[in-house]
Amino acid sequence: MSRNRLDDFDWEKAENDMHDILAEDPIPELTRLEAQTLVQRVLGRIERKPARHWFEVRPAFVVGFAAAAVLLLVFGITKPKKPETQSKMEITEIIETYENREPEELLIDAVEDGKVEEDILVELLPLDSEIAEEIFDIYTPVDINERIDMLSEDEAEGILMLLDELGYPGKEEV
Amino acid sequence: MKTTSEQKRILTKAKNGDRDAMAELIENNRDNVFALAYRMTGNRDDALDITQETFVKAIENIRNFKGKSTIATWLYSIAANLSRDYLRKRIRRDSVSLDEARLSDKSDSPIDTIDEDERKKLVRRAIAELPPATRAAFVLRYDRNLPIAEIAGVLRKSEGTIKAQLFEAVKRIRTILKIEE
Repeated sequence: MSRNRLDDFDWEKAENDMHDILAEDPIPELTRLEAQTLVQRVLGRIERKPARHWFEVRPAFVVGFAAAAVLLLVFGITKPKKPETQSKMEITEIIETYENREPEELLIDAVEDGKVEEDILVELLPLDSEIAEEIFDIYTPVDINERIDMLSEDEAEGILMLLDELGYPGKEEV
Repeated sequence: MKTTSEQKRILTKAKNGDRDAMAELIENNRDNVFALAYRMTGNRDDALDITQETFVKAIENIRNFKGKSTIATWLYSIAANLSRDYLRKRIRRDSVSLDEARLSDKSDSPIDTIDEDERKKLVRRAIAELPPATRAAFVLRYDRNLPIAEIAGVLRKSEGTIKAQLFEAVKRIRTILKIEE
């Protein structure tokens, strides 16, 4: 977009117009009950969390651990053909390769067959171009194993099969 | 609005696990977080869920908050990310129904010629037409009134990118609602 178009744009008029438009649909206020419930639920959930381990509050450790774990997960330590370390770019390329295989059809079939829950697939498997940016946020062995642990035998089998199809190591290899 | 020193006091106590301080932090910021989530999702229940998730995530990570931004900005950042994740999932899940829900019914009516309820719906649908990232910038600027520099910090984009997104958003909303430039 050219800088001129942005510079020539009447930002003040835009501001007024947009405020007028948003005023047409005011934000509803939370009721007293909703506000109380919100506090109770948040604090209740915080309380139910297990005590944190010492390494969880050390960001540098967590970042290093997560990065190493992701690399191990994605490329697998048991596969001799794979190099031991991989760059983020290589991970991205793998994701792109996978995207080129049009996984949506595979996934939609799996969901329709009831093999896996759609929510879990959306969490685990990249379906849009933004996934490459977010790979380190999403793909951690902890996430995947925790989610797999929550599934039934059949669901876990389905998702492991999909991960295998996509070239990810199975749970037992992590 | 609490003063900065009061906010710092609450934050310090919350970091030390004080439940009353955590509750105060939620109460002081819930309306802002809910408003952002509501504008992003256009749905009260979803906005409430996102508000809850935002505070759970914030309190879980409160020790990592260094105070480089205000607590409100930090919470906006968490809420915006959660809202965008939610929208991406919803778009994938409901792509057919969302398409059907688009502006086919009232698209010929300029906003000032229809009744109040329809105007509300039309505004909500117009915002829903914006892609998630653009929508976040739009809501933070025109609903939450954040300066562009602060939005850039919240969404981790350059100020130029935010300006371009706002330009596109305004253009698109004007087109959808048939408002003259």
